[in-house]
Amino acid sequence: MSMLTEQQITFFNTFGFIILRKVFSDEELAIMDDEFETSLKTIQGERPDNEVPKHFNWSNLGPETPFLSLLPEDPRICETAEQLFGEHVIAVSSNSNRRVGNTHWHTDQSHPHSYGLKFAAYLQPLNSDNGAFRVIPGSHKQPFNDKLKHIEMHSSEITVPYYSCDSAPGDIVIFNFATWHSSFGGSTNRRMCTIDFYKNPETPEEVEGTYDQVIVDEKVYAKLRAYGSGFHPHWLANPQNSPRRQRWIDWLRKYGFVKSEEA
Amino acid sequence: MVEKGQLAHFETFGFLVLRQVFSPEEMKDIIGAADEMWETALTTNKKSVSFVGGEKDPGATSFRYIVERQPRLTKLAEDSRIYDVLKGLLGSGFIWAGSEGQRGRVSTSWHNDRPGKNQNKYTRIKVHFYIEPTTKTTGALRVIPGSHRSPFHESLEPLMNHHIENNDSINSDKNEIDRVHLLPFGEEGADIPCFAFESNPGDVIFFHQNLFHAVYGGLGEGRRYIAMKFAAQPTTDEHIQFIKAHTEYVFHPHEDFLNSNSPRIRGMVENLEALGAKVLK
Repeated sequence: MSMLTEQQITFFNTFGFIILRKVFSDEELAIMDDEFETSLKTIQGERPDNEVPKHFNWSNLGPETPFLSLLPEDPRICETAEQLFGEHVIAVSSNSNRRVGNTHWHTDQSHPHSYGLKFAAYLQPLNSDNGAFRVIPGSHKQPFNDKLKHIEMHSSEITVPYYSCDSAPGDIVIFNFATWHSSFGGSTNRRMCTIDFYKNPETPEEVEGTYDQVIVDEKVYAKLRAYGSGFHPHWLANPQNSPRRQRWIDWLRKYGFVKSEEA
Repeated sequence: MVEKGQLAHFETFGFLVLRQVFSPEEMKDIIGAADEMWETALTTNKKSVSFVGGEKDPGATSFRYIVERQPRLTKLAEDSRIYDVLKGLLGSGFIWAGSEGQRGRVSTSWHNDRPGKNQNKYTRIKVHFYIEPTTKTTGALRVIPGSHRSPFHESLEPLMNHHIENNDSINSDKNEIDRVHLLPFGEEGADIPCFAFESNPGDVIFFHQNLFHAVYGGLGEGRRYIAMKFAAQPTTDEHIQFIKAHTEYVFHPHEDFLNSNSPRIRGMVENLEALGAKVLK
């Protein structure tokens, strides 16, 4: 059974995002909260002087977060990604994020021909005033996307018009990496779990964009990652012999996202 | 004058909001003048009023030439706080494209004004003054930022088709599943992602008429606004044909504007005569 209707796919393609309501049950949310909290405590314990960075980001692909590590293969997630970006879409991360304060306007696209999707599950109720995901609908498409790069979004002369993706725990916001987004007014403890997918490159430009993404990911992980590797050996071992996961791992190795020493 | 950032905002998002342009005292006079015109129109000059409502708002009316007929409103069109902004957005030589006063409309589904092929090449701007405070759920003008430009504009055309085919309400006799299936993006119009121009009297919005806009949750009899319309100086035959096809009344400017003592007012209409304008008697 398809996760998304034709109209929902049209919505996503038109506006660059979509909100799915009540994807996770209360029981699943309790597990997600527990795994998140346990990991956070471990990470904070390893920080010098209990330092609290603006952005904690860690991988959920290890055995200590069994529910979160399997989310990329959850049919509610991966089959939705396949509907949006094709059956050869690749899961490249399952992360947890603890953010403090505002996140200014940006996109997650690093190369004009590198395409990706992010699934974001927020663990707290959020609205426009307390850190909900804000989006500029339709901004994933050109020339609107480029136009936004050339205006001073942070200046006092521009009041960026946005749509607030108010959400409750259990909801998922899916967005195209190219979509402009931000968050303002959030608390010092904003929590979300994310799963990223990359589109399988089909043109020389997209292949180039994928190799470029490898370099960008390394830089971003070096800057943000507080704990562990992006690809835990346990996940790479694929103990359940999942064909889908194996396809992803093979692809990640082929393009260099997974280094030989991580195998 | 228009600041560089304001111009960039308009070009990028298709609209510009200016807050508290008019003082409460000025708004009191504007509202009083508009109310006088509405009352007169509904009692003695009914030809000037169109009933534009649907099932939910049968008494909704639109009063054409409201600004042209009332000197206290006419001054809005030449007020530097409006005129100079329009000059910045449309360039010199922009033309007057009419006015209307609306009241009583509860909702208007997603649409752009006067759709047509190649419409993106010609800029027309509507300036709205809301007479009551509005919020997203009580009649604020909603816009989809950036939708005045291709190809985003065309991707939203299913909303326009829906607007035309269903005239604000989607077959209410259909069951829920059928009804939702008819929605072009699987969402009710009120749930389409947008920016709501929540406003207080004295605020003004300038929006590109290609921009998709809508209103939901209006307060019925209480929702009132005055709109003035302008367009860039027509410089090609294509522009002239566009005006003739979609807003032919632009070529019939009101006599009071043609005979105005104000160079600004006259300047917005007098060159139209060379393009075939006729005086409204």
